[in-house]
Order: sequence, then C-alpha cells, then structure tokens
Amino acid sequence: MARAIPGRSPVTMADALRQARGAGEPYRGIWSWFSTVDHKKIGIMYGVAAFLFFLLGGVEALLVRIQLAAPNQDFLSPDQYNAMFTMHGTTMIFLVVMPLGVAFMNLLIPLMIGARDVAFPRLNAFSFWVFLLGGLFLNVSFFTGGNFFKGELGAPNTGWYGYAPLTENAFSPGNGVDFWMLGVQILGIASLAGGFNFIVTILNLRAPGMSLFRMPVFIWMSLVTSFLLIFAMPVLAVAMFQLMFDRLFGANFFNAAAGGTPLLWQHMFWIFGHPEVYILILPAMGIISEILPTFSRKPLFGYPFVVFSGIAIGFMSWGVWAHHMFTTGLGAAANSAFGVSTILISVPTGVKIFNWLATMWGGKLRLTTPMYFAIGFIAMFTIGGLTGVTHSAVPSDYQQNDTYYVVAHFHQVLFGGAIFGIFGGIYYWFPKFTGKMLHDGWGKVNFWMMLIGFNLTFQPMMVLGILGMPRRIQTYPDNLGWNFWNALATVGAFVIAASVLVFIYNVIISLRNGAEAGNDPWDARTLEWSIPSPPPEHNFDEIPVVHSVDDFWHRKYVEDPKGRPVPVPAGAAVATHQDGRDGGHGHGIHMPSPSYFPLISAVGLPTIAFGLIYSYALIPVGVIILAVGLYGWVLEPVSE
Amino acid sequence: MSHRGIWLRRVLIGSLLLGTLLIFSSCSGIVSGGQNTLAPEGSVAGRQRDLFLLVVWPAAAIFVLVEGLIILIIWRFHHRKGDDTLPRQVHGNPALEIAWTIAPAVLLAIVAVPTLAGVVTLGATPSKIGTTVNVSAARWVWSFSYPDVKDSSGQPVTGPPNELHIPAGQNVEFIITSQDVIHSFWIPKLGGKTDAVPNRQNRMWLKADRPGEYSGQCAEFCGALGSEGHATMRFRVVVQTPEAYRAYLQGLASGSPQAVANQGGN
Repeated sequence: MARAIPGRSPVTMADALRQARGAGEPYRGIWSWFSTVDHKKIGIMYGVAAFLFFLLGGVEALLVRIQLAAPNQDFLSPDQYNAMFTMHGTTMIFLVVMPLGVAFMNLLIPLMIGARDVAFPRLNAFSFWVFLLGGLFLNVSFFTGGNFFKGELGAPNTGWYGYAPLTENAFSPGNGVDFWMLGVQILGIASLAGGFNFIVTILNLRAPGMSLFRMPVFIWMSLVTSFLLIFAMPVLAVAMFQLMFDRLFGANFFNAAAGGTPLLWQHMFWIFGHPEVYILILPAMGIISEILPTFSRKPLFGYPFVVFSGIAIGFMSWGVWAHHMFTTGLGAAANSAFGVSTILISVPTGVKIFNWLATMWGGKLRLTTPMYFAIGFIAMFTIGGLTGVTHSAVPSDYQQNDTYYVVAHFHQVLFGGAIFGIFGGIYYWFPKFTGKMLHDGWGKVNFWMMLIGFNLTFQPMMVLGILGMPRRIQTYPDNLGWNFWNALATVGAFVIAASVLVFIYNVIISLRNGAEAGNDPWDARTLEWSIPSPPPEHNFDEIPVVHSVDDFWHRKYVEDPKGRPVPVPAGAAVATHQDGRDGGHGHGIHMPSPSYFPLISAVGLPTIAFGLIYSYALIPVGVIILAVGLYGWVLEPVSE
Repeated sequence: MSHRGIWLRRVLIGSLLLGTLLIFSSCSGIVSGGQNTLAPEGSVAGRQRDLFLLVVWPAAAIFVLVEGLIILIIWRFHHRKGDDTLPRQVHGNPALEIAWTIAPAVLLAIVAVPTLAGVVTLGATPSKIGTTVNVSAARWVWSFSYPDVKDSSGQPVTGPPNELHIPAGQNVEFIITSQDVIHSFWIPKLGGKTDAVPNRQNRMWLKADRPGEYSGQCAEFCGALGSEGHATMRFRVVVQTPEAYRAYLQGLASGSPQAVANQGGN
C-alpha cells in the first residue's frame, strides 16, 4: 500500500542537510539521546519511560490484588498495602497515562501539522528530563523507610489524592508524603512546560493552509489537553506548596488541630483533579478519532461536532470538581449544582461515541489490531461513561462514594478508555517511528487477553461496590459476599498482566523481524504518513501545503459527485504537492542544535527536593545546578 | 477474514452476556450480603436504591444500544476479501448529530428531577426527629453519644465504642464529627455515607424499618498503624424497638451499660 510521493529527491535533501549541519552532528549513538532536542526521540523516550513506569504500577496493582484475593489475608501489612495503592494511583496517573499522552503529542504534533519540530525543542527536552527525574525521585521513597528487602517501605501511603489532614506530620511522620508532594510538584513543572510548548507549536507552526479546522482531531484534542494542563497544574502546585509549608515549615493550612481547613485541600485537589481526568482521556479520544476513519476507509463523521464537543468537555471539566465531594457536607445547593453539571458533561461525551459509531457505519472496516483497540475503546469507555452518569444522581452517590463501584468506574474510563486508546495508538503509529509493523496476530492475542482481563478485573468491582465494599481496605471479613468477586478480579488482573507480556514479546519480535512499514502502510489520511518511516530528523523535506482536512488522503483520492473516492492519477499529485512556497531548494532547513543543558537544568530540581527533605545544604547546590543549566541554555551558541 | 469475524463476534457476544449477567445478578439481589446497598432496610437507603435503579435502567438500555450497534456495524460493514472499492465518503449529518445531542440531554433532564428532589429531601433534616445521636470518629474508633439522655454530670450518655443503638421506625439524626483525620460514617443497609470532618459538624438522617443488627464501616481512608487501621474501623448497629432503645439509654445513664447492651437487638 506504500505510495511513493512523487516530486522530491530525498537523497539530495539528505546531502544538503549533512552539508548544512556538519558531519559531527551527534544524532546517532547512546549519548545523542541525552542531548537530543528532536521531538521524535523525546517522544520515544517519553513512551519508553512511561511504559517502564506502567510495568512498575502494574506490579503494584498485582500486589494489591493478591492481598485482596481472599478475606483476612496478611500477604501485605496495612502499611505496605497503603503504600502500594498510593504508588499505584500516583504512578498510573502522573507517570503513565499522562506521559503516554504526552509521548503521542510529542511524536505526532509536528508531523501532523507539517512542522519540523516543536516550537521550543530544548524546553521539550527539559520537560522530559524533569518528568523522568521526578518519577525516579518519587520512587526512591520506596528505599527510604529502613530495610527495603525486609518490606520496610518509605513510600507515601496516604492515597494518590492525599487528603488532609492525614498527610500532616501528626499522622504521617515519615518522609513518604514529602517525596509525594515534592515529586508531584516536579512532575507538574514538566507538564506545564510541555503544555505551553504544545500550545505554541500548534498555534504557530502549522503548515501553510492548515487552518484550525483543517487540523487532525488528535491535534485538536492535544490543544485542549494542553490548555487544561496549563490551567490545572498551577492549582495543584499551590495546594502542594501549602502542604509543603504545613509539613516542612509549620504552617497550618490544612491542619485541623490548629484550626486549619482540611476541606480546602479537597477543593483545590479536585479543581485540578477533574480537568486531570480529561487530560488523561482526551489524547486517547484523539487517537481513536484518527484510527477509526483510517480503517473504516471514511472520514470522521461530523468533524466539527467531535472538535466542539472536545472543547466543550474542556470548559465543562472545570465545573464538576465537587462531585468528588458529595459526602463531605457541602449542602443541598452545592450538591444540586454539581450534580447537574456532572449530568451535563456526559452530553458532549455521548456525542463523541455516536460520531465514532457513525464513522464506522457504512465503511469497509479493516479489522487490524489498532482498529480492534479503537473499537474496544468505544465499547469499554461507554460502560465507564454510563457508570459515571449514575454518580451524578447525587443521593445514589452517597452510597457509591468511596466504594469499589467508583474504582470500577474510573478504571473503565482510564483503562477501558485511555489505555485501550493508547495501545491502539501504539499499534497504529509504531510502524511510522520504527519502520517495522507490529505483528497483527500477536496484536490480536494481546487485545483479546487485555479485553477479557479488563472485564474480569473491573466489572466485578462494580458488584463489590454495590455490595458495600469500601475502597482502600487491605482486609475484609469472610461473611459479606465479597469473596468470589474479589477472587475473580484478582484472576483478571493476572490476565491483564499476561496480555502486557504478549505486547512486550510482540514489540521485540517485530523490531527484529517485523514487516517493513513503508511510508504509508495503512493507506492513512494525515501528513505523517506522507514521509518515510522512520521520518528523517527534519521530518519534511519540503513543508507541505494543506488544502483540506485529511490533506494526505485527498492527495491520493478525490471524491466524485456521489461521494465515491477515486484514486488520483500519479501525475496530478505532483501539482497539488508542489505549489508550496519554500519548495525545497536545498537551503533553509534550520534544525535546532542538540544540548545537554536541559538535562543539567532538570537535575537541579530533584536536588532541591532532596535538600528540602534531608538537608537544606543541598538546596543551594540544586539552585546552582539549575542556574548553570539555564545560563548555559541561554548562552549556548547556535550552530548554523 | 470472515472466519475471524465470526470468532470476534462470538467472543464479543460472550463477554457482553457475561457483563450483563454480572450486572443483573447483583441488581436482582441474587447476591446478598451484610452491606448490600440494593437490599435496603431503611427508607433513606430505599430511596437511594430507587434513584440508582432509575438511572441504571436507561443506562443499561444505552449500553445495549451502543454495544449492539458495535456488533451490528462489525457484522455488516467489515471489509470483505477481494473488495477493493472504497465506501461512500460521508462527512457528517448535522440534523442527525443535533438529534443525538438533544436526545441524551432530554433523557438526562428527566433523571435530574428526582436527583434534585432527593438531594433536597435527604439534605434537610425532617421536622419529626425521633432521636439524635452524636457520632465522633477517631483513628480507628467510633464513639456514639445520645443527647436525649444526660448522665449525672449533664453530658449526653455515651455507649460502648463501635456500637450504635437506634430506634426502629423513627427518623434518627446524626451529628457527625471527627477528632483527627477525615472519616466517613456509613451503614450501607440503612443509607449512604456522610464524612466525619474535624472542626465540622455534618448532619445526616436515617430511618431503619425494623429492629435488627447491621454493620457499619468507615468509608474514608484514614491510615493504619500496625494491624489497626481503616479496614478495621467497623461498627455494629443495633436497631431496637423505641421502648428497648429508651431502656438502653436509661441503662447507660444509670451506669450499667453492659447489662443493657446484652439485650440489644430486641
């Protein structure tokens, strides 16, 4: 299916590049990864790091499920159990689903909008290093509680949402909460830098002709996600700073014993926390909005509706935070208002589901692995959406709040939704960035195991919640009818784990012996498929000129008056493609230079954080590292 | 492709059936247990159950519709071997899209009415209150005191820890607070939960249908120390006839709580 794009001579371009950049450019070899500012390499590093954290968070989940497999077990002590569910939640949200979304944004935004890189390539590298070091910093806490190998874990154990005043020194005297609040603070810096970078990139670096409403839906969802990031992370940062002042400097923001306000924490956390849910799910929605049209062989049904509903979700996500707090005694007025806003936000979500179904309707579905995952997303996310609506019936939520019903609900959204979408995205774009196809047969084994494991794990949790099982208990009595469902959920968790092993196996064999991808293995619609796989460092030899949504598709096919696509004759595409302005005269491809300074700057942050926990003497060291990094960054000569 | 398609459909239908079975088995009360929220023993829990089911049934209908459409679409529109043509390129249909925006909005508006009514009813304490109980949570103990009857020093009488007594058939008001971190007061069979927040008094009311024993449990994570912790912060609820309840309180006032507690549950 690979189609050569006529009208260019890549060899000449590559030669021109080599001349322009000098032969000593460290684009290959291990060290190049530490200094790279290439959005593709950074995206790959984001993806790989987040996937390793995914394995870690998965192991934590398995330990939790082993402990809960039967009543009255003591496989884990209460403290260990609490550390496990805290680190599972924190890891999966901040170190897995968010950075996996960011990985896709990094890889795809420049390619989909026809740009050579993001707007601030070194800031992009800085985001990644801050994320990686922040994640490692958070996990170092496991080893700070005494002898790790005797099970003395220093990890935070107050939940990923860290409700005050449990997080205050009086109730959490160890360092765990310090690692948590400072680690999340560091990760927030990475998210903020990324958010600004993506917004500027999308708004300013689009190829000629790519107006906002010619952008792929994934780009739209990335834009909404980025705006949510830059507005949500500061709220979390303020809350974390307040907690830091409480814990380290004796302030009393949340300290009830001294007259502080524990509920203030909940408001601030969830004003961040609910937009965060959409930060996690919108990129996955964007991914499947690209996959479904490609394999249905039809354009997305109602592109403007899908885009506007995504924007609507972005706005409305700011008005639903208190539905996490219905049982805290907000009063009837607030509970009614937030119940209604929660009902409302389900409308734009429902619209998307019907638009996706209509995209498939009347198509000729090629049931490849990415398509399996995309359809799986719709099927499973629908369940999560519907259980979400049951929470908006406020009095009914008084029963479900803090039970396994809620655990089931958000895993339906974040696993059935986000993770299925992300896996679909990996199967879909893996060929673009590695040049190799992932094996389709193993991909389908991966899909079915994951689907079955997912349903075995999380649907029993709905039943458990209805049967009155609260969250975050490490043991439960024998006589409440919970045993069978818990055992089932544990079996399901291991099926999911096995499906992930199948995925890893598939990646390994496909990298070794996978079929060659070619430029456009799926006969796809967006610009990234118009260039080689993997793409050259500068992405596009010539910046494309865009004439419509799915521009690349329309270079390949035109529609006759009845809406039937007709392949474009080979010669015609040249004209379409070549009316560009800077049509590649061998000069003017300016690529950013590699730099170690983003990495150096990033090292400063965890150093400061260690200083806050262990010895203030480290703080100036961290500040100096940060300052040296930033000065070097600013003053570094640009190779031209 | 078609062979694979058959398999896909079989497994998909199988998992759908399993899912529906799970949901229905729990809804219809085949599974029962000491904290089953769908087998309520009090009017508040009953109302919450009704509201839950009111949302669950339309949700189940939409679930069946969407999953059914997915199966239908895969069956009708999957690519057939040897077919190299492309489908008609439909870009959208505004009328249809407006319709499927408005339809769920209308459906949800219908759900909103009983929701708001429920919030108001359960939020306000009823005018006729049978008795009031002060609930105080601390890691990891529930304390219950009863302002209806005062002890010799003029304080509300206090029962043994982790044991709550209330009269059957009467509205009972709870005034809930915490001594340390946030906890949540919950008796699943009798009604939903209300958080116990330090420096704050939250109010909630319940009404138990008949005398009996129920279990209650802390529903907000409150940490652990050694083997004690959030999971073990459970309490026993003894619903008595109003007469037995009065006698229990008098017994507490006269300082022989144990003797009276033993007749609990009558």
